[in-house]
Parts: sequence; C-alpha cells; structure tokens
Amino acid sequence: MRRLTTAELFKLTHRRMTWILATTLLVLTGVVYTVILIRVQNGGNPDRPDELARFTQFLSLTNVVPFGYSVTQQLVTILGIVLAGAAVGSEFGWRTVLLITAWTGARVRLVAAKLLVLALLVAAGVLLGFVASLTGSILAGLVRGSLQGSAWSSSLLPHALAGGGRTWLAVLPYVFLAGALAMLGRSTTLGVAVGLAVLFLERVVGPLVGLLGHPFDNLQNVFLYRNAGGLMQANGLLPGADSSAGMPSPVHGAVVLLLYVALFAGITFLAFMHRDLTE
Amino acid sequence: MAIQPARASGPAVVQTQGLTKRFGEVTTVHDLNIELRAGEVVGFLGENGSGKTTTMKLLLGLLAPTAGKVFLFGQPLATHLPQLLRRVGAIIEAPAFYPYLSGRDNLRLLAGLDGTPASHIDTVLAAVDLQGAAQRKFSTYSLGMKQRLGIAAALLRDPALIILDEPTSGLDPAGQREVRALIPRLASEGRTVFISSHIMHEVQQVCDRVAIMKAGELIAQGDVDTILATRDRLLVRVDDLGAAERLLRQLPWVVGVEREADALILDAPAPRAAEITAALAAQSLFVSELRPRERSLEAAFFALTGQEQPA
Repeated sequence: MRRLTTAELFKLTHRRMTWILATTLLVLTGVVYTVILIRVQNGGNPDRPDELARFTQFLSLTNVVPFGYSVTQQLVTILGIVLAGAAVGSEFGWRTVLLITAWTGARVRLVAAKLLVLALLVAAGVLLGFVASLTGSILAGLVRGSLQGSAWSSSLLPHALAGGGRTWLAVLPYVFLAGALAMLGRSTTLGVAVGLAVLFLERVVGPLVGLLGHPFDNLQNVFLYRNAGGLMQANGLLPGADSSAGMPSPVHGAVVLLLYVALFAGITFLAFMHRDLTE
Repeated sequence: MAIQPARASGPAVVQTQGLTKRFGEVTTVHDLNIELRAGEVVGFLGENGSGKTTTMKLLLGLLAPTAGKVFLFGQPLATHLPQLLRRVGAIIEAPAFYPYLSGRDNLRLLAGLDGTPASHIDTVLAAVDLQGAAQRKFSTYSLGMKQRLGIAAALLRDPALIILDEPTSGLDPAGQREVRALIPRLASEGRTVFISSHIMHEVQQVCDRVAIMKAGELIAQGDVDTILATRDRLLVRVDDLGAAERLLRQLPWVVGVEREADALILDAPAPRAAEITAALAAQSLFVSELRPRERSLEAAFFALTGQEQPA
C-alpha cells in the first residue's frame, strides 16, 4: 500500500496539471483579496455602507478562518473536481490502467491508494489556500495600516487546524464524486463535467426543493452544498451572514458528508473491481 | 485438426484448464487448455479476433474468466494474482505509459511499485537500446521507441514468464531483428516466453512451439516442426504434367494434386515416394525431380485455419 501510494504521489506530483491547479488556487485567492482590498480602498458604494464594513471585515485577520476557508472551499472544490476527474479518467484515456493493473494485480489497493492520494492533495490544497488567504489578509492589513497584533491569539492555530479539517471534509465528497464518475465512465470529461454540473446545479435545484414546502423542504438537507455549508458554519459566521438561514447543524453536515464520501468511494471500488479494463 | 501438445520437460509455468471467456453472447475464448513449460518460447497464432489477446489478458488477470482456471507457476491465478504477477513481464496491445513522464521515470514508477532495484532500469534500457532517449518524455517517442520501452518494462523485474503481444509491431527491420535475437536469449536464461505475432516467419524463427487459435478455440498446439510436418507434401517434376496428374489422382493415398509452374505438388506420405516413381515409370512418365516440399509456418497456419493463403 505504501508503494502504491508513493507511486500515485509520484504520478500526480510529476504532472504539470497538478502544479497548474495549485498555481490557479494561489492566483485566484490573491485575486479575491486584491479585488476586495481595492473595493475597500476605494471607499465602497456610498449607498451601501454596510457593504464596506462587511468587506473590511473579510480582510481582517480575525476573520481569516471563516472567510479564508470559505474562499478556499469554493476554489479547492472546483480545482479538486478537475484533479480527481483527470487523475482517474486519464488512466483510462492513456490505457495506463492496464499497465498498472497488470503490474500489480491489486485492484482494491490501487483504488485505495488513488483515493488516499486525492484526499491528501485536497488537504494540501486546503492548507495552501489557507496560507494564501492568511497572506492576503496580512498584506491587506499592512496596506491599510490596520494589522492587529491582537489577532494572533493562542487559539488561532487550533481554530485554524479545526477549520482546515472541516474545509477538507466539505470538499472531499465532490472530489470523490468526480473520481467515481470518471471511473464509471472511464473518462476525464465525464468526471469533471458532471462533477462541476452537480456542484453548480445543486445550488439551483436545492432552493427549488425548498420552495415545495413541508415535508419536501427537508430534502434540501441531503444536498452536498447544504451539508458543506452547515459544517463550514462551525468555522464562524461570515461577516454579514444570516445565522438563521436554516442550514443543517455542523454535526449533521459532517455525518452526511462522511456518508457521501463512503458512498462515492464504494462506487469507485465497485466500478474498478468489476470493470473490464480492456474494453 | 488438433495436434497433441508436445510434452516439454520442466515444470508448467502456464496452465489453463477449460478457460472460457464470454462477452455477452459472444464467446471469445472457448475451453482453452494450454500448457507452457519453463524455458520454452511458445508462439501464439491466430487471425484477428481469434482470442489471442483475450487469452493473454486472462493470463494477466486483466479479465476474469467466465469459466475455467489459469495456473501460473502451479498456483491458481484467481487467488494469488499480485504475488504471481511479480514473476511476469508483459506487453499487451500497444505499450501504454504516462505521456508526461520520461521513459526512465515511467520505469522508475514501475520499479517503485514492487521494490525492483533502480539499478535494473539502466540494464533494461541498455537491453533495448533506449538509454539515449531515456530522459525524453514518452509522448515524444516514436512507435518503435514506445515498443522498446514496453519490452524494457516487461524485463524490468527479471520475470520468469514474459508475455508479449505483437512485440515487433511498429519496429523497423533492425528493431525487429533485435527483438528476434532477444527472445531466444531470454529463453536461454530459463525464462518462458509466450509471444503472439502475425509475422509467421518471425514465430518460426524464434519459437519452440506454437499454439494456433481460431474463433476462440485452440485448433493446434505442438512443436513448430510437428506443425510443419502435419501433412507431407512432395514436389514431382515430369515432362507430361497432365498425364502424370491424371495417374497420380487415381492413387488412393494421394490426397491432393496441385500444379505449380512446371511441377506437381502432391499431398501424399513422403515414404511412398518410391511407389510414386514406379507408378509413373510404368506409364513411361519419367521423373526428373522428386523431393519433399517444405512448408512454411505461414502455409501450415493457413492450412490449419482453413483460410486461403494470399498469393
């Protein structure tokens, strides 16, 4: 298992796409902070003073855990779907799945290693995104002359670590979904396209389900984005966010997300175990 | 026509028992029983779609059999797949590698999967003359270089059994010659080589035995010499071919007579050559040449599979 995991890491870390995705994460996080900083420096919209206050709080170091991880979650989910779809689907496109399977014959461990490495890279992405957000927040504080040393309390690190764990779990089901779809369809395109479609469409379909009223509105709480949102609330409410939005509790969110992780991993295992790799 | 398997000495390296693979309604391999012994080079022949590649995939566990069993090194493949594959090197269809990795990194990846010493990489790259391009990305390789890297990968973990599906495909004549030279060398080191090819003379040159598939069934298996001698053929040269042909067709042990340029080709037992001469001489048809007509493996293949040999 260790060798298979090392091999998976070797494959993905030697692939240019992985580094392009990591760079994209850094650049987009930087863009988010830069745009907000410019907006704040320009004084915001005079008709909406609350907006300026909210944007200012986004940049604050004291909000780096809720806001930084919120940005990271959105970006890593999208980039993680691309990574997972490509990591699984390319093996079929290049037919390297035959090479590796004929070499090892260990299908269960092959899938386990691939999923483990995807989970590790998602964790690395979350860490990278948070570091980028932290840097953005510090730089914004320096530019605005508002960097507060008091924000560096002893509780920041455990808060940040717990937030990282929650963000990782909020992203992971989407990544495993893309991997499972790529495995089922033996295609990068299918994994990425359907993974992204689920990510965006559930935010359209979910509220529509909510409009149906009781008891159907409870169905919303099986949607991934609702449970991810519920879990992410434990990182702290975003400035200006409505605490009574009816999101599932963090515990509910974590349990449902874990169930999805298990479901998508199980589908990936079953598909690979019973797949004729040679078609 | 099935030829009984030659019983080579040594332990069975590959053995299949009633191996069958069906895809829906289509039976690709039916009740296949083959046996390969240590140190043998066995050619696997058959037209496209005859089940050769499917059989090779079954031997590597890439496909699960619908029925029957595969044993490698005396152990059932179904229950010992990862352990058994460590002793096998294979190329199936076109060699597939990671296009963004160099040839050397592709081999490093494979070596790392089962703890093969990295020092083997240079050895196998040298064996296929690919050291000069080892740092280049696989995606930039020519077809021949890709094939050579596939062979290098097959040799990487010093396998006891090597399964090669069309190993000279895409190679230039020099590369084909190198592979043909490499195969007997591998066998001389005690390895068993199972090789499928469409190039009959290649198989005839390098293989000890052949197995011939047709429509998913094994129709012949045996020594190359045995396969070639399945039917005796005699070349007879006389002045009056028409009269000789009429006469020879009346002999009960002459199965067939064909004309070829200024000679006749008989399907007849070679030990009856003297009787043929006597029968013709009795009718004042004097033989200027009578000799066994050697058959190529290609001719034997077409005869056994019932196909028309291309002109």
